Amino acid sequence: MDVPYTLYDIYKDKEIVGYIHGVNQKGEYGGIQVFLALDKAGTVKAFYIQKLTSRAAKDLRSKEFGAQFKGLALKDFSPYDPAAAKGAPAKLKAPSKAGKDFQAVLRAVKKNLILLDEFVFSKKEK
Amino acid sequence: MNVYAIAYKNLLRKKIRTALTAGGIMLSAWVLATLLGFNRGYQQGLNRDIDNMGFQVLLTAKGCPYEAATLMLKGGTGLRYMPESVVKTVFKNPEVEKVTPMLMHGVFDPNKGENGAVAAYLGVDSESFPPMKPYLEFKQGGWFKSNTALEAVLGYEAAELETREAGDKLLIPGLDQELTVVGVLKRSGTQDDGTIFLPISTVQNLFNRKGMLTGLGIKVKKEADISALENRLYDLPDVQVVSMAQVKTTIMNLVNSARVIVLGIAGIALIIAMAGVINTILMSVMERYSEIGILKSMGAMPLDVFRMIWMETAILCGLGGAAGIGLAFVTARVSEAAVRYFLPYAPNGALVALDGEITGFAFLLILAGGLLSGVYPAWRAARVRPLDAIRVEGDQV
Repeated sequence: MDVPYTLYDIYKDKEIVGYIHGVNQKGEYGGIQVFLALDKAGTVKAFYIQKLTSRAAKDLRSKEFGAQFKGLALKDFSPYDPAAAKGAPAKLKAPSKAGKDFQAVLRAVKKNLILLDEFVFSKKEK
Repeated sequence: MNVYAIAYKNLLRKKIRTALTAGGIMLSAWVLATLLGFNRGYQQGLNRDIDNMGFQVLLTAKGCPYEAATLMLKGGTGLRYMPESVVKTVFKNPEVEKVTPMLMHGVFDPNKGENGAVAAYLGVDSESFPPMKPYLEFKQGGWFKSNTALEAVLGYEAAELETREAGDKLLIPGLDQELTVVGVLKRSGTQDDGTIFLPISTVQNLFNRKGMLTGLGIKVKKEADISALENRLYDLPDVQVVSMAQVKTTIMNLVNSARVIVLGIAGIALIIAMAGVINTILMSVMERYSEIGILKSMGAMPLDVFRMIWMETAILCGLGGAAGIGLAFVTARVSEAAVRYFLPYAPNGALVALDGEITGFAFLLILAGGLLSGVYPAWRAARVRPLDAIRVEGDQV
């Protein structure tokens, strides 16, 4: 992709209180754009799918599905193997008919968290 | 020391004043060269976009022809439908070399963005469409196998957005219909980059538009009389003829109207720069009144003084003009980005096309304007009487 990700700082007055980070991911029937809002510790505060073509699009874009990601962080996705589609956080339940697109969304979330860690959090540690 | 060296050294005596005047000339030259380059670039881009359509005449259902043409140029949906039988009728005309039927259909996809968006599909004939678009090259795969195949070919940007490769699946929102991507095009710099092509019969079947078309592209034989063909096509019922030549002329007329206003502004900038040149050189002459008198008392002829002052103007305008044209080259892409910001539907490709002809013309115009401005100060200097000038010097002492 020409622009593979987007990253925004969230300010409260002049202080950064969090980040919004969006990534593209190949889905079963088209590109998926997954956005996460995170606090300064890297914990997911909100989840949003901006674009998706899927038989389970309505369910995957629902508030209920997105709410499952609240409170998760990169460490929760460490055991998840996107290639084998195993090791996802236990609290995440796949909507019916979501199939490969659910796995694509999980892959996008893990990619999102890894990239944000690389772009923001590991730089701060240095 | 020759007259050129004296003129150059005189300019250096008041560096800031010289720099400010040259800066004014530079800005005028920059505006002039950029505007002329924009005019040429826009015209070339429009020609390229229309040539890349592959056909010279477009037939659509009745409606506003310019809106229809604009929508088609940008890959949008047509307004209404016309019967497929029009293909045979059009083919009977001796001027017609090839025709290609098209059916555009848009589907609202609620899962694109916050409020949803329209996903558009262009149904094309797998036999007649590719030869009309010889510039389209494939990055992967190729065209559909038949007009009824459940297959798709994606333009470069459409494939990037949907992260599709040959062999992947597409799902048409609302229909629950899967299609296989059989080809991905290379970037062409045209509206085709963002298009999803499907076989025309597939689009007709999927969207319940059997026997209907939104457009018919007509390629005319090389020596054929396009006007005669257009006049005959105008007589067809419930269809309208969009001549790409007419569209081009209409858009260029609009652009030319805007250009007259902008060139007027450039003309005003040029006049202001010329006034600055007159002011600078005249002040320089006044300051050197007695010096010029002494030169003349030492044997300088009026023509020598005229040449010296005029040369100062020429150097000033030459340097300012050259710097302005250099600036136009350096900022061409920035100017282009600014134009695209205000005119998002401008043609593809370079919008500011600068070449030797344009920059040479702009430079000569600036130089001529500058030299014209230098005539009066040079004439005033040439008329200085040595005794008067020396007397003024004596009075000042």
